[in-house]
Amino acid sequence: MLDYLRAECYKMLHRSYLWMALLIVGGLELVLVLLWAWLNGDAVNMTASAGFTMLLYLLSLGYYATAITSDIVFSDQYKFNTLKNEVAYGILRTRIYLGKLFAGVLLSIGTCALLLGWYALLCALMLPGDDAALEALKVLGFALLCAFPVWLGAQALFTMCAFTIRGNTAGTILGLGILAILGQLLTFLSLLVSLPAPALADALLAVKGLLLTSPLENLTDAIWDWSRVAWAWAVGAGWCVGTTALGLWCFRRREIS
Amino acid sequence: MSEPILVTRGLTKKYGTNLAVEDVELRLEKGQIYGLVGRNGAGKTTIIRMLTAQTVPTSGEIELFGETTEKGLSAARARLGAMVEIPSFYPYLTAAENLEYYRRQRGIPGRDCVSRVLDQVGLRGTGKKKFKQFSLGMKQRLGLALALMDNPDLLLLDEPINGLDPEGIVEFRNLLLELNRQRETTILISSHILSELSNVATHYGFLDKGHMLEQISAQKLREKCRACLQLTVDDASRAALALEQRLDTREYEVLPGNVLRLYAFLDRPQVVTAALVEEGVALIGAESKNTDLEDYFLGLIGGVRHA
Repeated sequence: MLDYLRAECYKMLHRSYLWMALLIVGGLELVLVLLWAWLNGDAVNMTASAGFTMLLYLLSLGYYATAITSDIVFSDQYKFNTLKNEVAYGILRTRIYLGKLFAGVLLSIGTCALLLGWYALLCALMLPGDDAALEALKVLGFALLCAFPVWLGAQALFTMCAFTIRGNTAGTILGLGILAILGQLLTFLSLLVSLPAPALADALLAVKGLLLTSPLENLTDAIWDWSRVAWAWAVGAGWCVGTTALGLWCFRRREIS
Repeated sequence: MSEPILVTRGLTKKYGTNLAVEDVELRLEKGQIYGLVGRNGAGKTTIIRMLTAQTVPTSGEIELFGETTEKGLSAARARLGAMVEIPSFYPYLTAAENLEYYRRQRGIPGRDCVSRVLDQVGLRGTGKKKFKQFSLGMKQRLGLALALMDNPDLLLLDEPINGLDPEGIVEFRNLLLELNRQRETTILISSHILSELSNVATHYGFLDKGHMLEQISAQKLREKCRACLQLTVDDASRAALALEQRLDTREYEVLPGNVLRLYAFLDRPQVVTAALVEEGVALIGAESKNTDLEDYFLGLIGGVRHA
């Protein structure tokens, strides 16, 4: 597995896609913080702690970023027919699947750390410091503790889509649909049936609570609520195990052509 | 009998109701160059795809280096080199980068093996050229480089000379023969370019509509395909007597239906005719036969050779 991960890292680092994505997101962060620094004055008072706190509202972007990291790792294997070069030499399909998943997780953690670090550095250097900065960082740490497992679940979901759906775009759309639309759909349905069948509406909302997006909803109201962390880890782990088991089951039966 | 490298028993692959390969029994021994011969759609690629785990057999068993279990086969496949259909690589990587990626993935020690195989297949000078800019011939060469990277004990090559220029074909043939002689690499090579196969193969398997029609050594095939005079007579035993006593030759064989194949006196058929007449044998028909691999294959599948 270590060899497989080393190879995946080698391939990822040789793709301009990764560097372009980092450059664009890092550039956007720079523009955002520069804008705040420029606007700072009597009307606007954007401090470093406020900059850190802003991240709490951007955590859901992490789900969608896993679509990109999963895409970078999977690298259009079906389109380029490169999976045959792996299975033909005795690399087990389980290892291929888990190898890509772990490589995706590594890439996500690495890029997340890099981009968050860059953002924190920009805030610390360009925005006026205040006493609340340390507290804001602690709150951010708590929020990341909630976000990390559900991001992991999203990574597993996009990996499953990449392995199961032949077209890369179709796979990404399916993953995004599950993340972005399923929750809205369940809310809409529960509203629709709330009067004639309130029990069904409750059940639908309970199911919605199991979706990856739920643990991060209204997170600012649940800071230091450790039951939220436990919920996030349970949901994230459930999706991670469930989608990986399903994806592996499908991939093990798949024809490589 | 020498060490079996690859054995299949009752290997079958069904796609829906379509039987692509049925009950194929294959046996390759160490050091053989096995030519898998068949028309398009005969099942050659499907067999190789099953051997390389790209598709799961519907039934039957594969034994590779003595291993038959899933785990054992997986370990045994690390000793393979394979080139199945058109070689596929990452288009945004160079030849060396693509090979380096697979070297790391398979845990092959020593980076120098990448430049060694690139040298071997004549791709050393491609430098920073990406795979997407390669010609078909260059892609074939890179596919071969990947197959050779870990000094395989068994090479599985599916239509490997497609896209190669004449010089490339000669180089490729010499490379295979060198690997076979120097390292005793066993090679299974599928092709429908029979003239090229006949230059390298030591054994043949003839496949048609998913069935293995015959497996034969090149030596036996040569014997079967030797130039001969095919004589149809009224009494084969008296004709044989005439050949032995009057022409002093035993270079003949008797086939069913009073047919004899004579491998001597090919340039003097009138002498043969005279000897038979003197012995009182009625000669019903005589024809000169010179069968090649293509004729033999077409004879097996009941096909017709087109000019």
